[in-house]
Amino acid sequence: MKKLESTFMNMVLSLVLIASVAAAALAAIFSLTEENIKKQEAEKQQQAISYVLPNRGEGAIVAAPDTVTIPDAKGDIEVVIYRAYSDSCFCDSLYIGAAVQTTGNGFGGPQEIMVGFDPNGVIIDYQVLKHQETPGLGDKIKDWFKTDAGHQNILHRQAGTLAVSKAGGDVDAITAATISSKAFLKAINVAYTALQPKEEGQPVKAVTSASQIHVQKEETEVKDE
Amino acid sequence: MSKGLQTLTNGLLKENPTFVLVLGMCPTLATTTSALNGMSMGLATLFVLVCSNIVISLLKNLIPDKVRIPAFIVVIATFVTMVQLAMQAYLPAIYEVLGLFIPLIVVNCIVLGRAEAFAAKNSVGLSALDGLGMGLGFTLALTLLGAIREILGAGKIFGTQIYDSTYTTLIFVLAPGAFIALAYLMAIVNKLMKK
Amino acid sequence: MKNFIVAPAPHAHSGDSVRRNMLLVILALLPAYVVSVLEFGYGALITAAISVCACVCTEWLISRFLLKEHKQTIGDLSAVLTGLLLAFNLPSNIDWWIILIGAVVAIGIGKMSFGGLGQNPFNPALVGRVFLLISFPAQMTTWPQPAHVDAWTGATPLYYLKYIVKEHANTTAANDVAQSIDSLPDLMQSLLGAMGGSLGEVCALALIIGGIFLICTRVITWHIPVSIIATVALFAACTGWFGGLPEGMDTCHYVGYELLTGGLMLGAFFMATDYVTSPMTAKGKILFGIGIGFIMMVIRTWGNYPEGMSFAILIMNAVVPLLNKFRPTRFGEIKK
Repeated sequence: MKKLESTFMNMVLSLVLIASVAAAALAAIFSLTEENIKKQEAEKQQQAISYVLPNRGEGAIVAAPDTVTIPDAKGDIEVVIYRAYSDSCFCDSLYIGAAVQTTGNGFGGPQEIMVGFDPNGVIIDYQVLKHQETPGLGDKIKDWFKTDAGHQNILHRQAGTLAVSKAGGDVDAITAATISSKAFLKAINVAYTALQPKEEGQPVKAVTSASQIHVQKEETEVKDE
Repeated sequence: MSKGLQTLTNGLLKENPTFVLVLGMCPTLATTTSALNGMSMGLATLFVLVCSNIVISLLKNLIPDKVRIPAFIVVIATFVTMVQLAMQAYLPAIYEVLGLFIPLIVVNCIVLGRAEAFAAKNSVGLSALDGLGMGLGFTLALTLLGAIREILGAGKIFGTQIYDSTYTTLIFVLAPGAFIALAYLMAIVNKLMKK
Repeated sequence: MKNFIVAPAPHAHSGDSVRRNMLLVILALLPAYVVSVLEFGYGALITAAISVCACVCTEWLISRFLLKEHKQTIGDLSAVLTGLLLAFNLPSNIDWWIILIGAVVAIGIGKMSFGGLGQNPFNPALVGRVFLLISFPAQMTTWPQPAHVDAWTGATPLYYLKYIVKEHANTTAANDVAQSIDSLPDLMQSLLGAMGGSLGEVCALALIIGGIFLICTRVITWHIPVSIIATVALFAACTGWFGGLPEGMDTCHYVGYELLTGGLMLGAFFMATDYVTSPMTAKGKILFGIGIGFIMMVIRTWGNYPEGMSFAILIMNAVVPLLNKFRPTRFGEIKK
C-alpha cells in the first residue's frame, strides 16, 4: 500500500479514524476495570476504618459518615467521622468508638490520617492514608507515634492536647522532622475536636455497615463466576 | 534474523535510552527511589513502547506525514491510559507509588522518539523488537539506578533491609541524589562501553 | 652562560603561588580554630584531623588511580584547606564516618569530578557540607554546647531568631516569643563565641580577625565580604524598620544577631571568596556578595532551614560565569 498523501481530506479522515478507535478501546478497558477500581478504593477505605476501631473493627457496625468542618487559621479542615456501634440500632448506649479521617498540614503537603477513638476520646490506633513527607524523615509518621520508645507513643492516650516537646507538650517529635510531627499531632487533635458532640444524638442519615459491604462483595464474586 | 537480533540488542547497550540517548529523564529521576519502583516504571514503559511501536508501524502508511505527530501521540496516550487503568484495578500498591508518573509516559521522549525514528520506517516485526529492546534497556537502567539509590539511601534492596538504617545516606532517596547517582552511573557505563 | 633561557614576557615572578595563598588562608583560620578547640575540647581536634586527612587521601587516591596523573596536586594545600573548611562546618561531636563521607563527597564529587583545582564550579567544602546536611539532618543539627556555658541548651540562636521573626505578630505565641528572646545569648557572647554551633561558627571575632588578615595580605579583596555583610545588615534593618520584630527586640540587636551568629562570617570571609568559584571583577564580586547576602536572609527569614549561608553561596556559585561578563574593556577595545 502506498503512503497516503497529506491532503486535507486524508488528514482529517485518518485522525478521526485513529481517535475513534482509540476512544472505543479506552471505553472498553474503562468499563472492564471500573468495577475493580471502585472495589479497591472502597476496600481500602473500609480496611482503614476497621483497622483503627476497637478490636480492629470486629463486630462493629459503622454509621454513615458525618462531615464536620473545623475552622483553622490556614483554611478550614474537613473531617469525616465514621461512628461505630455494636448494633445496627445506632443507639448512643451501644456506641463503641469512631474512626475519624483528618488532614494535617505537613512539611511536603497534606497528610491524610485515619485515627480511631474509643468513646472517651482515647486513641486506639491510627493509619496514615496519604502523605508527601520526606522519605526517611517525615514519612516516619506512619509508625513513629505507635512505637514504644521515649515519649513518642500516642496510642492509648487521651487526645485533644497532644503537642511535641518543643511546643511545650510531652510527645517526642521525630528527629529532624518537627514540622511533620507537629502537623500530625495537630491533625489528631482536630479529629478529637470534631468528634466532640455539639448537639446530642445527631440524626443518622443513611445506613451502611461493615457487614453489609462484606455481603455485597461476596455477591459480586459469585456473579463473576 | 541477525538484523532482528541487532535491533533487539541495540536498545540494551549501544543505544541505551537512559545512558546513551539520555531520553525520558523525568521518570528516570523521579520514580527510581527504589529498585522495585524503577522496575515497575520500566516495565510499564516497555509495554507502551512495544504496543505503540507495533500499532504505529502497522498504521504508518495510513497516516499522512503532516499529521503524524498528533496521530502518534493519540496512539501512545491510549496505551498509557490502558496501563494506568489496569494498574489501578489490579496492582493498587504499585499504582499508589507510580500513579503520578504513569500519565507522564505519554510525553516520555523515548516512546515518541522510537515511533518517529524507527516504527514509522520499519516493518512490524522489527518495530516490535526495537520497542522490546529499548523497553528492556530502559527497565534495566531504571532498575539499576533504583537499586543503587535504595541501597545507599535506605539500606535496602528490593525492600529487604541489608544494613542498619542509621548508616544510610538520605540524600540518595531525594532528588539531588538521583542526579548524582545518574551522573556517575552514566559515566561508568560509558567508560565501560568504550573499551 | 648556559643557564640563560630566552622566553617571552612576563619575566618577573611575584612569588605568588597557590601554595602560598592556601597557607595564608589556613593561617587566617587558626584563631577561630583555637577558640573552637577551647570551647569544644578534643572533639574539635578529632573532627578537623579526620576531615583534613580524609580530604587529602581522597584527592591523592583519585588523582593517582582514577585520573592517573603523574604530577600530584597535594602539595598545593588546597585539599588541606577544603578539609579544614569542611570541619569548620560540622558539629564537633559528629560521628567519624559521617566526616569521611563528607570529605569523599567534597573532594570526589565537588572537586575532582570536574577536573580538580581550578575547574570546580562549586565550593567543594560546601558541596560536602550540604550533602551531609541533607543526608544526615539529625546528626548535622545536633550541636554540643560549649563547655563553660551551662545555661544554653538546645538549638542555635538562629533557630530562635527565626521563630521570633516568624511569630512576631502572633499574639497567642507571645509567651513563646518572649521566651525565645530570653534564650538568645547576649551580643557580647555571640561575638566572643560562647554559643552552640558548628566548629567554625562559634567565634565571630576570631573569624573577623582572620578575614582582615587575609585582606591585608591581599589574599582576598574586600568586595565580597563587605557586600555580603552590608546586604545582610540592610535586610535585617529593614525587617526591624517595617515592623517585623516583636516587642522586646530592637532593630540594633536583631541586626547584631544576624551578623554575628551562624555561618555568616565564616562564609563571607573564607567560603565565598574562594578564587575558583567567585567572580573575577570587582563589579562582579559586589553583585555576587549582594546575591549571597540576600538569598541567605530570605532563607533565614522564610525558609525551612534556620541557616542559609551554604545554600546561598552554592546558588551564587552557579551564577558566577554570568557575573564574569561584567569585565573591564579589553586593552584597545572600543566600547560601542
